[in-house]
Amino acid sequence: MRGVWVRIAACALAAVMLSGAAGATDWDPSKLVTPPLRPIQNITPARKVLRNGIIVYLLEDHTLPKVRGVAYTRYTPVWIPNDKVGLGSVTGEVMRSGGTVRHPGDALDDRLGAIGASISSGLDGGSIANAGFQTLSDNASEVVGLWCDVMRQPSFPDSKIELAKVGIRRAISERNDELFDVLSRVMRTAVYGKQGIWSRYPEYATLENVKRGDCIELHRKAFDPSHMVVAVFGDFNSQAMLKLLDQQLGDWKGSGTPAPPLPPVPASAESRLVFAPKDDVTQSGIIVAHVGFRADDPDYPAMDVYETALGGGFQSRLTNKIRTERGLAYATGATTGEDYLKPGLFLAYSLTQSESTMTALGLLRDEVRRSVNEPFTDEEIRLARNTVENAFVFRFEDPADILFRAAYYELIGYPQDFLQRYQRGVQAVTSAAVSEAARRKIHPDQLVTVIVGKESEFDKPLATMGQRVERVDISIPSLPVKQPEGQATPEQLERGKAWLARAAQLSGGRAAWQAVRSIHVESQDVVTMEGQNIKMLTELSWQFPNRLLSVQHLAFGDSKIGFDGSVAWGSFGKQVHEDQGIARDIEAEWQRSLFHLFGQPDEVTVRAADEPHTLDGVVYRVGHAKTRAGTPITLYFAPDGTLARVEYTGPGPRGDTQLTDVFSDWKPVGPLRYPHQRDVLIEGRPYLQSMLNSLKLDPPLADSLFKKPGF
Amino acid sequence: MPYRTPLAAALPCGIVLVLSGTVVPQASARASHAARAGTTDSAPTRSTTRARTGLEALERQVKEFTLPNGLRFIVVERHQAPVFSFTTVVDAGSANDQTGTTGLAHMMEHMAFKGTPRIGTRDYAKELPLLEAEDAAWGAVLDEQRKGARADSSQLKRLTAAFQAAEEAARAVVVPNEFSKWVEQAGGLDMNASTSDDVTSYFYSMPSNRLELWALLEGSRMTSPVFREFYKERDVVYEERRMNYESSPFGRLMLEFINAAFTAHPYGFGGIGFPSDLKTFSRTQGKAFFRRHYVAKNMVVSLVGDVALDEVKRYAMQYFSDISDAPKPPPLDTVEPEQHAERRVTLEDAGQPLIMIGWHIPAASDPRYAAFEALGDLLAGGDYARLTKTLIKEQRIATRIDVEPGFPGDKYPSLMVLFVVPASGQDPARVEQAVYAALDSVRQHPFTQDELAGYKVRVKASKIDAVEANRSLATELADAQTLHGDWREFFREQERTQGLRSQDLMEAMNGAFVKRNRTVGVLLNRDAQAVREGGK
Repeated sequence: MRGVWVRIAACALAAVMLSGAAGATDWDPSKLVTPPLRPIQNITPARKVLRNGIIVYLLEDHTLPKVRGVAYTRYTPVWIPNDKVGLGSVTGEVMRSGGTVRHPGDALDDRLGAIGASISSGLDGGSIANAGFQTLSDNASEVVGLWCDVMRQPSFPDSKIELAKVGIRRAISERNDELFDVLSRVMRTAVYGKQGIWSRYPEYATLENVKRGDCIELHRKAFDPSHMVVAVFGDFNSQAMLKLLDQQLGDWKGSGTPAPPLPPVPASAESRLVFAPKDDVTQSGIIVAHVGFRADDPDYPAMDVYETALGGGFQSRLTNKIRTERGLAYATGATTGEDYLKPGLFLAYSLTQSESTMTALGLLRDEVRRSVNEPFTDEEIRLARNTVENAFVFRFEDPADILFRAAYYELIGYPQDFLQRYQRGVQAVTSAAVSEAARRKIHPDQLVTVIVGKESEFDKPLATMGQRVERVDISIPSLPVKQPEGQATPEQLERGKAWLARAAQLSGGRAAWQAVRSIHVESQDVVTMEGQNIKMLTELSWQFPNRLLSVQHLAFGDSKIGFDGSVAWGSFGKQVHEDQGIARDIEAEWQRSLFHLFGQPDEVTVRAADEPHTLDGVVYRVGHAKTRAGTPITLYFAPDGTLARVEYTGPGPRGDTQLTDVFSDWKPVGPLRYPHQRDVLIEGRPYLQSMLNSLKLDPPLADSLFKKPGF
Repeated sequence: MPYRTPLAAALPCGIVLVLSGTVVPQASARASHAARAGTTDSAPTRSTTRARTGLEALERQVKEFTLPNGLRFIVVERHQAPVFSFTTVVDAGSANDQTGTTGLAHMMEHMAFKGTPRIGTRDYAKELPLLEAEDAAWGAVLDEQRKGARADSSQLKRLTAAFQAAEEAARAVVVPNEFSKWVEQAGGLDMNASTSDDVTSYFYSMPSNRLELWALLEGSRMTSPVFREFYKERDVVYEERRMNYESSPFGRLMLEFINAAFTAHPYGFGGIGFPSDLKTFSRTQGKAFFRRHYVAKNMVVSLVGDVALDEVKRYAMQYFSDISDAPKPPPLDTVEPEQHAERRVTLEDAGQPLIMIGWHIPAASDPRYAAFEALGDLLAGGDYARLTKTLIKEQRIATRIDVEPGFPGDKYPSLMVLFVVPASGQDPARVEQAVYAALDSVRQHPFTQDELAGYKVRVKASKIDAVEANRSLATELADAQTLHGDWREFFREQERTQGLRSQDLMEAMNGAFVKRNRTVGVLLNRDAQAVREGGK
């Protein structure tokens, strides 16, 4: 019968008649009788203790000719200092990639590859470190030996530490590329706090601080036989395996201390809307979140059912409201956020096109509120409980899971029958119990809202959502350049001089810059402070070297500074004051100006750094410059030789700070090539963007222009 | 460990170098499908003696039968735990999309969860005319839109409102997601589906006392699906496009790359569908696609786990016999013509640099394909591989290199793609040149016996990994049956690799890895590029 489409094409009456007939159109799942499920086979792994206290779980299974195993240990993020974030990832990776004295990393790569085996290690999660292996059973004793060697005496060679850092630097550089990465990072920071120990991410600077000694120490503390559990599964003989493990690990002395306690998770965060801008997207990411609970919380079974009903799968309210009914999202859902060693995170999320961001957020918040205020129906809870309960059998599908779970419970101090208790809890869940648990665990008034996306395309302004808006800056702080040590060599000075001359050459040549005696500049500036943008038109009149008038036309009046060679002053509206500090700032501005650097290179010494410096994916040559006035400036020459960045200490909104001028969009102005865009960064983060409207060379500037106004 | 790192592992956020859609956004499912695409079989080549696979006993457990309508079932009884997994593979994927309705193959995957005349509706007799009214209302909107600049905007507004009203009316009789609820409340796990360029796959796992429920649900949706909520689901699919392609630097590069690499073959469409098609195709067009491709002879169903063959046969007869017995649609006749000039796309983007290099290679059915698979492993399959050693470990100019033979598919002649992540600060142009230099060095120093021997061991290990989970074995067998017409080919791969010689790999490389046969896609970071070009 290939009838269905013929039928659908036919008239409604025919369809009614035909749908009454037996066949695919009429098969009704509610009429089926479900036979009882065959009981789950009882599998209990063997538990042994090595002479040094390492606990070993073993489960033989000869179905396939392979063996795999893992060692779990406990550690705490407290062992990774704030200025060395990234140490965990480096240590985890280099344990394996660096190999041991007997088996260096490269040799290990080749040998494991040749026998189709693998060894891995890692400790980036913040609480549990692990080292695992898998191999064909023919090679099991060799691979177990290599695995134990890697765990016990990794050599952490500097070359592999550097290699690991190359990988992590790339990961840092691309961490704003994918929407979901940004969303989850901003969310964790928003809930756990900016300097929170559970929301730390490596930066170029913290990574740089990671040294071999740190890896050795972290490894020694984390891989401590006194709190280590090992589990091995597969095609082996238990007695022989136990003997092998005892040989390889039994004489490894532990510290005798218990597993380290974990630092607490902040109980709550201020309810607010946190927004991170990302413009290269057509979709926004939205999360509402607050701190959750631990899996040994008595509410866990009820909350698991709640999670399914609110945001787990097709039956859930979120999927039905946001995806199925409205077509607003492909990805939406919720998790109640149990974790095993610390409270997890409750979160409900949706991705949606930029134009429906606020609509989706409204629906998300409504559904979370409704899940607490308006009880789930008995039918919803029946469905959700059946979903959780009937899928329980899959926890026993793979015998290896049973083994690794037993080892994991032992490691974290959970009872071995934790899962069975949980199952009984789920079976007893009623809709009233879900409501009570949800009221205890979900607090709509405490939610932190996080949005990442393209604000200019949102359906409504952020401010309309009735919460304080916190704008976060996700730009990636660059690594400060290393200051040179000792005396400059003649060769370094020679190279530095050549770089500066080349940059001047590419920009019109020294003579052209030297010839300019005064300028008038008009630019459109945008200052970014605390996530707010302030736009202004700026006019600058400058008689070199130090007579200057700068006027900022702001919405609420003009702000000026000036210096006529003797009196330095500032004004706002009709308020005028004298300030000799302004004269010093103007002098410093002249010292680092392109007209000075390019036009009078003999006034400057430039010491070429031996190492290039990488920023945002570009390798710069770096020159440490000193002007005759002694002002230190760092010059960054782009790969093509242009002067791309000038770094210096100067006045910021809160006193002197590290500033960077970034030049781009070089275009001709008379005989010069002049940067038509200048970005000013404060400590590597965007502060001011200045787009050139016009530049006049050698305009007539009357002396009176620079004088303090006398109202 | 798989003998080849799936590209999923290569990228943040579970990005997968596979053009495929799924009905549920699930990192694990996406990853496993990448792994799948990376371990496809090839046809027999110079096979010699049979190697010991370690899987001889398992192979004997595989049973099969075919229904009168031509539907093939593959069954493996494994009674360790009271659960089973299944995969239904339809031998039609995004490569079967046509200009004007691209994305429709993937749309089928989403519609397969919308139910039947019995499941998903309050009253099908009422619903049917409402669906027809919805289609008519959509047709009217589209007719007006097609007038382009001459379209009457107030008329368009009125028609759009009428269409929305028709949608609402139809939705009123729907029981939303009822089909999926049946699976979920029965304990069904990992329910999802995926659309690649070659095939569309449907899968989940069930407690074994629900075999009949599974048969009823799977049989009825493959026999009599109702494409309700079609137009809303089109929006959901568009959101999938926004997530995986438009809002991801990697996704943006991949689409540009694949669009450039093929000029004639629909592999070049990119799978997800072009924006205008995703906003215009209709349920009527969807139904036509289904009628053509979702026929019994074009499908394979595999089940692995705690099931009894006799019972499976009984339910198969009962619930799958009504699937259309129409002939299997012929394969595509379009063959990608020989490429005569290098193609290059440069995407200046907000993201960090990425490089993709693709060379045209034969289909999986070609005897030479096995050499390309081996080549992929030995070039970039792991820490032991040549390019990995040179570019990552020695020169440190890249942080990731992945390789994918048979991209974006392997049913038809396709590409072997190298995906390179340059280290931070490296000029992508220099990294690309270093890749070619490293490949030249491989030509100077052909693969050794030891390297080939290692590859053969890794194939063996990867096969053993692939059979461990019910879900994975079900997928492997159904895929082999679909691609090669015989599930046994899954077990034959080791044999095929036994005969491979270094010379075969060199011939494959020399034939394919030439400039005029390649497409290069480079993502340049806009800001970094502005600085590099600042003085020009």
